[in-house]
Order: sequence, then structure tokens, then C-alpha cells
Amino acid sequence: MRRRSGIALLMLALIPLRCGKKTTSFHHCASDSDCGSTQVCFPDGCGDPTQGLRVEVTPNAHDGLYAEDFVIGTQANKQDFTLPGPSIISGDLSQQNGQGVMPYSGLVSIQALGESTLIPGVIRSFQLSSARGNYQLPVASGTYNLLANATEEPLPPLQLDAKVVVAPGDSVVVPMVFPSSVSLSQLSGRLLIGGQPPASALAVQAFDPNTQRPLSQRTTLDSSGSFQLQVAPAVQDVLVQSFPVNADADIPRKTFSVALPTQPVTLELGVFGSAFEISGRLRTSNGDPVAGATVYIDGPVLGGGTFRSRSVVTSSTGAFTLRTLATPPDRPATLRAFAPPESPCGLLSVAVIVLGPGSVGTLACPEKVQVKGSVVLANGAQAAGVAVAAQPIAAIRGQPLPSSVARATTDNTGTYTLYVDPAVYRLDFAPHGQLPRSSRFVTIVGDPADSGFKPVEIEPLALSNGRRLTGTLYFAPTAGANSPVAGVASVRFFRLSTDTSAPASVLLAETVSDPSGSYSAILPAR
Amino acid sequence: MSLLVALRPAELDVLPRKSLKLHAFYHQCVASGLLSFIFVRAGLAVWVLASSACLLPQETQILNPVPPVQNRPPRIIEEQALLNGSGDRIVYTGNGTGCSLDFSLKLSDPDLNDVLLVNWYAYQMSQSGLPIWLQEFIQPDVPGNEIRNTSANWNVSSLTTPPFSQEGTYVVEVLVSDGSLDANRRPQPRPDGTTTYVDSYAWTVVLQTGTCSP
Repeated sequence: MRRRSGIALLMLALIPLRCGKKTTSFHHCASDSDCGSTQVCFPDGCGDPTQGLRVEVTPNAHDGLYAEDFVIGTQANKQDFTLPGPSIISGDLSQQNGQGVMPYSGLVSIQALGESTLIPGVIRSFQLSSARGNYQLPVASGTYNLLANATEEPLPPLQLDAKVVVAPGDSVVVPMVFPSSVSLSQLSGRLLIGGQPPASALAVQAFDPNTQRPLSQRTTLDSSGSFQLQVAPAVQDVLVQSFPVNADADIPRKTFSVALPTQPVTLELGVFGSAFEISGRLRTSNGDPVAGATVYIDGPVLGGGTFRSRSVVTSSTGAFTLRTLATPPDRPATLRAFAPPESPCGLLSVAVIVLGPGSVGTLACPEKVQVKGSVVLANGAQAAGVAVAAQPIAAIRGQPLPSSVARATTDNTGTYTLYVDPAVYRLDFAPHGQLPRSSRFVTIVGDPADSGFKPVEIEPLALSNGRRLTGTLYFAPTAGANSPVAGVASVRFFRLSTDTSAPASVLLAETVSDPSGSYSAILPAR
Repeated sequence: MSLLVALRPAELDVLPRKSLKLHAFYHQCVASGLLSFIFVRAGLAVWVLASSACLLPQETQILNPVPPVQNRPPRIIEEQALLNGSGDRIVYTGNGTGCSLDFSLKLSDPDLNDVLLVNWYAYQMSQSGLPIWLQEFIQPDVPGNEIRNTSANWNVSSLTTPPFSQEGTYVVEVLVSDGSLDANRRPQPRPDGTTTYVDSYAWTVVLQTGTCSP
């Protein structure tokens, strides 16, 4: 008995040694074996692979035949789809006046911004650059915010409060009515630099302080620095933002709070001085130059405005030269560097006070987090040649959301290595062959180490088995029988995610139809 | 016929009725001399045909070797080139929270086993050494398809960090090749010595400060 206790104590002492390497888990399950006997491990947890599938079919975007969405729940191996035809939002363009509503004859641009109704998270935006009198906008099925902008006169942008829901094949009529000119608030004034009219072309625009929605169009200042904005009706407080017409000009932006109604206002951009060049070099923690990195400075400048320098790309030696404005002596700006996806160099953010031309020296970027993992087949065999992609989906710790997607392929032992910045990621695993793709959510925290972050090991992922779903795409009959969709149609299968911290839908499979309208896809199965 | 010849009489007892009939026909032919007559005539015909070839005019030109297999170019399928689900080539967008850009392409290559390299670029001004913001490898389908099931896809979920870090007009360009490109985007010969082909597509993104609305 005493001897057994001694062994147990020895084992307990060994456990911490064995667990010295930290393993990061996926947000929910890792493999189908973690789920019930009929369930599959999806990114948001275990679920029935035969139910609640959402399908997006895009027949031909070039001809305005945009995506139409369906819900299917089937265990069958065959599923045909009948496409009702194009979805269209249309309506008359008019404007209120004292007598009621009159047709609006000016040129208008229309934009529909939204997402799929059945597959939330699938972004859709459509625009019409010019319409007169009425408009007709082909769209995919979805739920949209509709916006109209008069391009021949400075009416405030018009955004409908109600969302427009368009089902496949729907033709939805939405009239767009601009407010009457007399109902608009007039905001006029001058914008000066050190008391003088600006020498460069500047513009101003009014925004809603809470929603950041534009309440006026952009208006360019005249030679005396004067402007006049027509602001949406019934607005009391606005933010007026000034900025250069040419985004590359060496002029800061500044935002002013203005209460309406008001007498003509005088806005002062302040004395910010002339632009100058600063140089530097970017290297890894090992001292290697980082080529192809995007570098810029962003932050406060003299005069009270903010300035974002033009982005530059580092040379083969890691050298860069930025053109910027002076910062206040007590308020630093931020120099940021984003290395190419294949570089081991992570996101660099450095506080810099820049008072004049010179060099910021050599900057060492932190190393990215090394992420290692492995992929196995459902039978436990190592899965070689699986493409792995890490798509950033949410920022953590106040860091910017990484903009690049890290990619790798599993080797002969089924292992992969990625280099990423700390963030929440969706890892997509695309096996080569007859198996379905799998996705998982994972948070890469990145514990700080000497020159970057400690390596992270992710728990192994087991791929699901697959089932083949085939079918034919048809257009709904205009007269007589259904006609198959000719040409190349895109067919994508999604699952709705129940994880509220992640994108609302996850791609399960994608395929294309052949010239006879037939398609074939591999979906996860148990 | 040869099977029946190889059979010994003792084995005929286990043959089905149809085989027995054929066997009987064979012995009848041999007995009648019909078979030997056919063999003699057939041999004579072969000799006549072979010897007459010497009388035909011969080709004097040396045939060239069969040309080597050539690589065929990949293609971007324009009717499935999508930006946020639309076929528009120009998009106006804000850079506020929730604004995103989703570029998607379908690709084809008649060489079913070619791996397609997809390089995504975004820039305001073209210059040498432009960074590749995303590089994808589209593997062949199994079984092979000329039009690949897997799309090339670039989802930009933040419009406040590079490459879309400031207001302005951007070109988003995608190069699809069936071989490698050098740093200046020039195609390099494939390992088998054949030519690398490239197809390209481009969108214009006009980015403004504010919400996703214009």
C-alpha cells in the first residue's frame, strides 16, 4: 500500500513535466468522436449534418443573375434546385415639395448594402451608378439597406430606415423620396489654416455623431475657404470633418462639433507646418531585413488635427521613407508595419514623436506566433496534403485585426505550421480528394516571449467522412418545362453558426455545375 | 474453338449441351476437309497482300517526331468573378466597422492536373516589389475537372489596416498562373520546361471614411 502511494506521488510529480507544452483547444469540439453517434463536429459545436443546410446558387453574375438562397434538410443523395429568376429592386425617384411629392429628374446613384437573409454573414452589395426618374437594380436575394445619392446637386444622402427583404425571384418596388429643399438645414462657414484660406483643395462633410452616417454630401471649399452644406432635416448636432480632396496631400484631417441651427461658422485647421521625410529600416528579431512590408504613420499633428501618412513598401533591404507632418512634442503618433503573410515578422506598432526630418533607426518587429497542429482522417490515419488556412475573424487585446490569411499544407505526417499574429481565427481544412472540408474556431493569444510570442500547439483535428450530394439546377419555367441552367453556376453549401462570437455562417462545400446544369458536392457525414 | 480442341474425350461428359454441339460441329468439319481448305486459302491471301505492298509507292519524306505536349493556359471565368456577390468591377465603400470586401473567382484549366497559383495584390500606385496580400494554391479536383470546384477567394474583414489603410482609390488585381512568377510578376518556365501562362482580373475599390454607405 505504501509502495503504491509512492508511485502515485511520482506520477503526480511527472504530470506537470509532461504538460509543460501548452496545447490550445478549438472553441468547441475537435472531432466527430466528441459528438453523438449521428452528429458531426462543426466549428460551432456538434450538429446534425443532414439538417439546416443553406445553399447559395449563383447562375451567372456577368448577366445579372445573382445568388439565390435555399434551405435544405435531406439525407438523400440527390437534390435539385429550381431558380425562380432574377431578383430586382426598383422604384421611382421623387422629391417632396410644398404640394406633395414630385418626380425627381436629377441623376442619382443607388446602392443596396446587406447580406443574405438565409445565410447571414454572406455580404452582398450592389450599386447603380446613374439613374434618372426611376431605377432598376438587379440584386441577389437578401436583406438590404437602400441608399440614394443625388449626384447633380448637394442633397443629403438618402438612406431608408426600413430594410428591404428580397426573396429569390422577387421584384420589390421601393420608391426613393428625397426631402424637400426647404426642410434641409443649411450649414455654411469658412475653413481656415492659421487664419488664411487654404492653398490646397479641401472638402468638408457632416456626419451623425452617434452612427457616423453621412448627413450631407462632401462639399469642396471655394478659393476663400467658404463652404455650404445641406444637412438632413431634423438634425441638431453634427460632426463636420475636413479633409484634403486629394487623399495623398500633406494636410491633416480635423473634426469639429457643430450645433444646428447656427450662424455661419469659422473652423480653424491650425498651423501644422510643412511635410518632411523620415526614414528607417525594418528587420526581424534575428536581424534579417523585412522586404515588402507596408509602413505608415498615423496620429495627432500640430494644429490639433490627425494625419495618416501615405503607405510605403519596404525595399529588399527593409528600408523605408515616409512623408509625414510633425507631431505635438507631448503626443506621439503610431508607426505601424504590416509584413507580407509569408514573413515571420508580426504586426509592429511603435509610438513615435516626430519633430522634423530624420531617421527613426532600425525597428525590429515581433515574431509571429508559431502555431503547430496535426490533421488525421476519421480512421485515425495521418492526413497529408490538407490545405490549412487561418482566416482572422476578430481582434483581441486591442490589437488591430490582422489583414492577411496564413496558409500551410500538412506534410506526410499530417502536421502543419502556421505563423500568425494574435487574434481569433477560423481554421479551414481542405483535404485533397473525396473528403469534405472542415473548419474550427480558435483563439491564438500569443504569450509574450523574448522577441515575440511563445509557440502554440493546437489539438489534433480529425476530418469528417463525406457523402456525395448531386443534383441539377433548373430555371423556373417561363412557358412549359424547367430548363437546366447552362454554363457555370456556383453552388455553395453553408451551415448556420450558433457561436455568437463568430461569423454567422460557415462554408461546408463548394462546387460548380456543368453545362447541363448538374452539380456534385462532398458534404460532411457521420 | 481452341478450348474444344484441348478437351479430352473423357471431359466431354461434364460439358454443357451447347458445348457438346460445337464439339460435334468441329469434328464434322475436320472430317469433311473444310477446315484445312479454309486455312490454305487464308494463308494464300496473306502472302498475296504482303507481297503486293512492295509494288506500292513508298513515302520519301522522313516523318517528324510527334510534337511534345504543350501546356495550356488557365482561365478566369468572368461570369463568376464576384465582389460582395456582385459582378460590379467598381465598388464604393466606407471603412467603418463591419465593412468588408469578399472577392471570389472560379477558375478553369484544360490541364486537369495543373495546380493553379493565385496571387492577390491591392495597391494605389503600381510599383515594383508589390507585396502579395494573399497567395492561394488551387489543387486539382479528384476526379479531375476543367472548371475547378474550389474558388479563389480573398475576404478582407478590416478596411482600416493595410492594404486598405487609408482613403483613396485602390486596384485589386489577381493573377492566376499554372506556374510560378518572379518578384516582378513575370512567369517562369515550368519544371518540365513548358511555358507558364497567366490570366488576370481587376477590380477598383473606392474607399471613403465613414460607414459602408457612400
